[in-house]
Amino acid sequence: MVKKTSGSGGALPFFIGFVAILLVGWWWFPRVLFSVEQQPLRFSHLVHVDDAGMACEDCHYLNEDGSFSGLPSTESCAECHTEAMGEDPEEQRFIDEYVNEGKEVPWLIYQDQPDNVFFSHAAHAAQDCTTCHPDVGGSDTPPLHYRNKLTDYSNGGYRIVFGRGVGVDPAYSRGTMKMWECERCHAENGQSNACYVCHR
Amino acid sequence: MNRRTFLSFAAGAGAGLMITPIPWKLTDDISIWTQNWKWNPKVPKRNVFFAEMASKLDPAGTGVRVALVDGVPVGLASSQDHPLSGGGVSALAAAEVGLLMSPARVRQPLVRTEAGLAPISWSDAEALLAEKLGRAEGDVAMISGDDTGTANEVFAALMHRLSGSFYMMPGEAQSAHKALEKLGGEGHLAYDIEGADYVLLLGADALESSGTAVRNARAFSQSHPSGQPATAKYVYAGPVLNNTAVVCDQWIQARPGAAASVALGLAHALMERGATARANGLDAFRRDVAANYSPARIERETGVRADTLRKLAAELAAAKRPLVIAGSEFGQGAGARALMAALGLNAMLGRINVAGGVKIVPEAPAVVQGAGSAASRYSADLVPFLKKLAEGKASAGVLMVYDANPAYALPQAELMAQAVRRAGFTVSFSSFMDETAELADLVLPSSMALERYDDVYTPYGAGQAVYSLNRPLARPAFDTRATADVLLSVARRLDIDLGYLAFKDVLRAKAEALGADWKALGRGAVWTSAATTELVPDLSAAAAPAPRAQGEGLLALAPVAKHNLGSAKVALPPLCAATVRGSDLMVQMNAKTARQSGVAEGQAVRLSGPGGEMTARVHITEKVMTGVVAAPLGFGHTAWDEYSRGLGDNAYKVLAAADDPETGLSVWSDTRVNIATA
Repeated sequence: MVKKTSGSGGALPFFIGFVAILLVGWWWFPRVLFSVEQQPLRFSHLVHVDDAGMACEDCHYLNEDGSFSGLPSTESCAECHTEAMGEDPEEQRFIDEYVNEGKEVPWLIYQDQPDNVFFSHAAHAAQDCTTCHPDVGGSDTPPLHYRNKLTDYSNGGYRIVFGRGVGVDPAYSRGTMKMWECERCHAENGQSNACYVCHR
Repeated sequence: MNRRTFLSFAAGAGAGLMITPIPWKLTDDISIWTQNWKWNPKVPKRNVFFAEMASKLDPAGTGVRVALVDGVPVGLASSQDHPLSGGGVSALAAAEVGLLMSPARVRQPLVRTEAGLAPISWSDAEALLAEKLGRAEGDVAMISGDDTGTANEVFAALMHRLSGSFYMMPGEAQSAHKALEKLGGEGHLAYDIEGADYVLLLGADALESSGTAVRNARAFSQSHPSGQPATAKYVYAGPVLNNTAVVCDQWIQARPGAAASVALGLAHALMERGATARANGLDAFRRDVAANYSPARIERETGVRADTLRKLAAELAAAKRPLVIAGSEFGQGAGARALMAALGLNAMLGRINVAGGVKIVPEAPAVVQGAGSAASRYSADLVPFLKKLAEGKASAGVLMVYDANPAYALPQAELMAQAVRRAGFTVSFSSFMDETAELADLVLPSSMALERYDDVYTPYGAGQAVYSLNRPLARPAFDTRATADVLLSVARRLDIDLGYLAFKDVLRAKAEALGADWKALGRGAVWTSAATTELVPDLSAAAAPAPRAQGEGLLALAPVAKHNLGSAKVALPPLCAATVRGSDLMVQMNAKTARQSGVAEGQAVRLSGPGGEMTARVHITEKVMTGVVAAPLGFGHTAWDEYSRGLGDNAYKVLAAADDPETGLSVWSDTRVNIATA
């Protein structure tokens, strides 16, 4: 005769395990997977756009050969900022640490694409910048930069994105763009999704 | 917690895990991680900066436009505005960026120890060199392969102060300086090829490897517009249908090293038509030409038919702006005679210092005291010195080698390597671990052109005086320095004052002496001048008999130089590695020659000449004249990197130089070889 053990495990341990792993998976895991960094300088787009009346294209433009200028070099910034133009200590720090030292600012790129992808800004010039990039044009303080420790991809926050439109703020997907995002947009706009279009 | 509770907890956690991102996100991220290994170097994504520079790898000093991101060169294109490129780029100039990270680059100073070459600090290396130079004063020699740089003034001045000898690597620039000197002139030989309506190329591979080849090719292209009649006729005379001959309007088959004879044969034919020249020593020239260079004799000696020669002479006489350019088919070993004869011929055609003719461009003023003139720096003949050194008949307590690879790219290469070994203390300033650096006792790696201050003054064959300045555009990839700066520093350790603390100051003085704008040069602008030096050539020695061919073989050897295979300084650039298939060297000959030699397509053969032997396979093609075997240069490297090492054999090994006491410059453009199945 088999002796009946006391207790059967029951629903409570199952429920505790279930909830605990949910907490680990959705709260702890993203915090371990991503590192949080601030930009090396508190650059204010607001001051440059609203106060100085600059256009996005003054700093972020297409070169004559179709390549994209990306972020301006210290030399470009120094065309105006050889001396402080305002009272902001961050501007003075920029001049002291970068302009006078002849160094480039190690800006963190929110949407750094891997080297195995060829992306032409010239070919996508008809799209609005914020279709892919976070809308930082009106920011006074740059958003935090989240970097995936395993892949080095950047992300818009701790939120982990599985698919567009599944209850996810689209802004969170505006980190490094994944292949399915490129493909979906190409498909929606009738563009080729052949491998060689991006992988050259 | 008992076992059942634990299992229940684990089951709950397992079920919950499936609706967390952990398994799915990790799987995705791991797959991405494996596609972007973090230890692979990545191009920094910053603003692209474009800068102009002049190539130092390309002997023609071609201007190129370099794309840089945050001090890292990421691309290279032709320079539209540079007078020596005009929108074209050579394979060697294109390698300026790719070779920066070549596995063959020397990454730090090295000194020979019992265990081989070992790292040494720059400070210790300079102290060691200063000590060796101080001890060997009067028994020091330096070899430079830089034909266009002011750095030579620093080197020559240091050698002068140390009572040493200064040698330039043999090449077209040396032939041109020596030819001008023998005809009573001084300066740089320049060809206004754009202005000519009839260009006769005698041996000189002017559209591929000779002179300002990129510029010449642009001039050819503009004179041969697509779908329209050509505005100039280009004729090539040489043994191989090379990259120049293949596009020219006419290819005339002439044996290797025949440029001087053909030029003088043409002078004979022109004299028959009553041509004369504004020159001194004309009587002696006429006498020599009449006695030794009749068209019938030229046909016998060079393979150029007498009627072809007379027809060519008639075309030259009828052309409005003819130009004759002569040289060795592979840019080396022509001695001075080919260029002397061609200058004589150009003088008979009235084509010196006129539009579309030969220009004599003045020397740049020397700015380092004791450096002497450019002509004096080219006066010493390197090959006999190295031969004597190898045979123990000469000595060099310290032998310094800059921008040159004499252990590979000179006739009797194995003997030249022996000379490097026999020197008391050999110092290589090569950027790359080449054959000479491998034998050196001290390797002080030179920064590449993108990493250092340097300049280019009027390469051989440029149409006018041209001066470009290079500044450090790229961050140094390794612990390297500009050699001129190193030797200025070593000179200070020896209490020798060369008048400058840094090479940049030498270049600034050079720019000032030329009247060029230093700041504009720094922005990539090119200084040019149309000034010429008067020349009434003394032709009395221009038609003297040439040295005999070297070797007793039945076939004439025609080395072929192609820039995609490298040069005398640089091995096969990695970007051109795809242009080489297999690892066997293919020597080319036509079907008749193969039949007479008893060899067949694809057969392994051994070529034996006066300098040594080489192995190869046979390729039969009608692009080579009868009695000639063509061998590409640039193979058979034993040093360098995995792209170039172990490919074929070195044709320089077979060549041997003949003395020419009258000009003081050795000749090895006419070498005879025997062929046998291997």
